[in-house]
Amino acid sequence: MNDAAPGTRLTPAAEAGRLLLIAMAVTAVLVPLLWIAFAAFRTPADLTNPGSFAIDPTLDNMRDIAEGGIPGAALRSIIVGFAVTIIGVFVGALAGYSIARFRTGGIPLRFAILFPTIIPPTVLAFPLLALALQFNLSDSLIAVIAAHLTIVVPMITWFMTGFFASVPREVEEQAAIDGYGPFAAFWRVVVPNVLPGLGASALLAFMMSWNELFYALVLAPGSSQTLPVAISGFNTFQGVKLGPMSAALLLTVAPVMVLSFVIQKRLVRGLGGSGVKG
Amino acid sequence: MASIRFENVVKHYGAYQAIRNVSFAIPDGEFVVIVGPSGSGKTTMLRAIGGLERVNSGRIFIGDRDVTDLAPKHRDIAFVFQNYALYAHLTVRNNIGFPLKARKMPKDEIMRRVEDVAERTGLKALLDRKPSALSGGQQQRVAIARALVRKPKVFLFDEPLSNLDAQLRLDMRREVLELQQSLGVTSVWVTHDQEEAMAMGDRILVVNHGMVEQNAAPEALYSDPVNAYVARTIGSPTINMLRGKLNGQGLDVEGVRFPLPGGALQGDIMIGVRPEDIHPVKAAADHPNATPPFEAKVQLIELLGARAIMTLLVGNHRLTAVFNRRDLADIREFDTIRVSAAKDRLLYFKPETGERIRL
Repeated sequence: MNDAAPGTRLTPAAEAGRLLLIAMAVTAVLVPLLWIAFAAFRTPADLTNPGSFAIDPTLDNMRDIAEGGIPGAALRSIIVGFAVTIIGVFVGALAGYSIARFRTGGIPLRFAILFPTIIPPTVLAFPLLALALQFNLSDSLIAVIAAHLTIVVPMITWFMTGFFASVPREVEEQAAIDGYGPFAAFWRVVVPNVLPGLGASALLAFMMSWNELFYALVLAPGSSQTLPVAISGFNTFQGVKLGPMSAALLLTVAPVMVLSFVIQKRLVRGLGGSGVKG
Repeated sequence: MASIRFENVVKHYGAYQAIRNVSFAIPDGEFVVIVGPSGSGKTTMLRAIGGLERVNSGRIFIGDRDVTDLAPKHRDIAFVFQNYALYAHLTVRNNIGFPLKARKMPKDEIMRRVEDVAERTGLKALLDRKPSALSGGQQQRVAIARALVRKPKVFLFDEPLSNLDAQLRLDMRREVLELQQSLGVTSVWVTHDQEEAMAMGDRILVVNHGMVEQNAAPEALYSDPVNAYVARTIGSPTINMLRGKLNGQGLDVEGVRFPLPGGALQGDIMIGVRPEDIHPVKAAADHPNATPPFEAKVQLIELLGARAIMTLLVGNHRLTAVFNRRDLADIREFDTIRVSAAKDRLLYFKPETGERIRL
């Protein structure tokens, strides 16, 4: 680029360093993923042979998990994920709007809202379990959904507060003059302006729930296992069942990756360019 | 079409008085400008007319209807905001059509009206763009088109030109006035720019500290202000205010004598002299009622074309004058010249309250 401002063009050494850093970051992220994808199609014999990269492609691992508890756990994870996403986005968005527009709770609430996410899950897990037992909800999806919401709602509230704050108040006032009541104005004028934020919130909520192990393990270790709990079950007393575990991990990671890849372009564009600057 | 009336309107935020017991009436079809500094309550008054602020007491009427407790959508008004408040997710066409859609007008009627307004405002080619793809001036045009489309009883404008550059501001000013003239809709325009107020208003409300200082036509405000505040606000360059002791010979201001007449007045007085009313004595023949001449040193000449803004020193007092170019003749900076003021245009005020004294 010859039209770069003076002093902003990278020297060849700096350019090489830059590419090296990128390569390292990409490697750190991709190698474990690729290894899982590789291992998912290897036989148990190959897998337990250290130093060997031999592969005799097989679908045994896939067949294995298809017959086990994984499909059921996946379905439960999907149910929990969608419930957490829908409730979390709905409650979090309304709370964020309230804080941004009506200064509900003042400045303190803006910060206090994040406290629950600072507390380690280990502190909250057992009180939550006690509550679940009290209400006869232990080992149920409802308990897991409720536990996930304790993380997701504050996160989305905090995230969406910023988005709502960036929508000019005048736009809502304009809608009020144009003929809409407060709820219709919120729905027709404010929500379309924060759609990228809502999309990002939904994605974050779903991924958080989909990946969450600790609460799910404590609150629903039995017949209501979610996918991460079921996968942790491959770590047995007889050792780790590497093949089926890799297959299950691949099935766990794949949808999230595809999802973020599809959404990412829209998301970044939306996050960067929402609203009309005057 | 409707008149607008305030009756003893009060609005406060906690202890802060934004509108202090204000009453005024704006006749049907006039273009009214509310002018005042920031924090004077001018925008609050506009928002109170629009129903965006609830007033604490008093009544507001649009036409014969008491709208004090009505929601904005029931007041039959249109509002143009300083930041345009366009719907970023909608095209220009849907932005303009939004007020009609909100009122459940049939689709083909909306189409027709939007096309019609777009034609009037020169937006036809831009109808399918998003607001983010428009320039500031175009965005403002969309906001105005959206206000026009519903044919409301009243237009309310909150400093709509302040984000535009100077030339565009002049163009838009003219366009808005022409539109308003052709529609005859009562309009209220808020600005802090007195020149804009003078240029646009059929009537001007000068607002300060939440009160209306004067409600009059531009010419009356300029030549016949009710107090020193209005005199200082209206007119550019700002009026010269001389405060001193008046005696038979003239006004003594800290040891400098200005030979200005005072009629029967004596003692502490403040005299306002418009810069346009100070002339070099050579030209004084054109002004038979000129005051006796006095000497002034020319400190600075700002030539604007047909006129020049003169900064004069009388003793150590600064006076601003506006000379015609032909009166300027061979006057140079640092010359000492003789000037006089137009006698019948002098304005007298009580120095403590700023209240006008009429001779």
